[in-house]
Amino acid sequence: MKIIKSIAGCVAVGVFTLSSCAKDPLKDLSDNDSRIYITNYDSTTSFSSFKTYSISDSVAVVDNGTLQKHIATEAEAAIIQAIKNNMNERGYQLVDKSGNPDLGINVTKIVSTQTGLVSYPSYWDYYNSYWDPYYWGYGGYDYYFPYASYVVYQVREGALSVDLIDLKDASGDKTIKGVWNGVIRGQGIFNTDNAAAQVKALFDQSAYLITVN
Amino acid sequence: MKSVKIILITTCLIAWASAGFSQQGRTTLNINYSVNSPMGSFKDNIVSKSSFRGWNANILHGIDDHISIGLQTGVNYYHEKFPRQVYNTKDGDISAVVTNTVQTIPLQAKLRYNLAPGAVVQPYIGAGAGGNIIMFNQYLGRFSGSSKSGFGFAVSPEAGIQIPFTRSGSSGLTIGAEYNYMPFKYADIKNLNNWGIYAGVRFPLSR
Repeated sequence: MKIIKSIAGCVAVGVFTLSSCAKDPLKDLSDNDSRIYITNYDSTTSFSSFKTYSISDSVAVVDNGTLQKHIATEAEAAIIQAIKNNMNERGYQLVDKSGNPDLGINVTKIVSTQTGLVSYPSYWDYYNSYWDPYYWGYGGYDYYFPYASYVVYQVREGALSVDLIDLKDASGDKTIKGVWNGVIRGQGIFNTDNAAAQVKALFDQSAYLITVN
Repeated sequence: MKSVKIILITTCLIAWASAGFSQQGRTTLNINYSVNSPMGSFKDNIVSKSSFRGWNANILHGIDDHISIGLQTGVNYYHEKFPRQVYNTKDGDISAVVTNTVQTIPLQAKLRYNLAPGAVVQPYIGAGAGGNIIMFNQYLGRFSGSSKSGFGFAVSPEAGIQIPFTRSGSSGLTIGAEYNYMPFKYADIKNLNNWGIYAGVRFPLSR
């Protein structure tokens, strides 16, 4: 009986040892495969009603919920250029921000130095402090996003967020509505060489983002 | 022809010599390597590939020469990475390489019926009933998308053969096949039904 108990004990230990030694499912994941592309949009918005856009010339860096700086290095410039290329291909016309653009585009680099959870609605809650509406000539306005984006994932490498805001209809009730948001997560997202392909992926899965000039 | 006769005679002698074997009152440990394949909605919706990272073990006690009862446990690990695809969400889309993993650890009572005790090759049928510790994980890219762990009911009918090493010993080879009926409700998942084959050895724990 003692032997049986010993063997049963060994088997039990073996089960839990082997179960904890299961293959790491992400071990062979390439940088490209590690990335996810998330897009959300306001389904009540007609994207063909916008004709012009302007884009910020720098990227806001948000570290653990706090705006650190706006930067415009080679990598950020590549991302901004890629966004311009895709917007132009979809029929939108680039104008200076003083030229009354229909859409404003903000780019934000979200960095987290610790493992945790990022909720994009909460990220937007602080949006005014990252991208002051004054930048677009709408001092005193508030941003809001009419759709819920419950994208909550474990943070490891940060995220790149691209936001389209409706400036054309901003004068109504002192609010600026976000109409589209693209988020890229994963490894290598801040690599200059990946900028064009990553931004294209966001647009490829957003076929409704198009207009005719 | 002569060699065929020798083999037949030798086989008969071994069978005759083994006839005195009895499993009554004996306890054995059986450890097997197993390969399991998902079936039905498990195969269609979660993982289509077979698990080559599995084993099972059971301790059986002979009630008489035909019937033995005991406990069974083990591990099976299923894993599949799907090519990048765009998935629709409520207000948008997510493009990701999705990886699904399922790990099952059975904890079952087991009954086995030996159809030919004492023979050189002893076919058997049996069944396990109890539960499975189940761990399901889904990753989007390198991010954990959803997961579900729990303990689910399971029934596992089986059939196989055991081949004793010696005339009187309880040690031997075991080769068999099993079907695992495993209900498991989560999102689009209805069950984790699978079938598998296994092979291993068994040892006596008592005389």
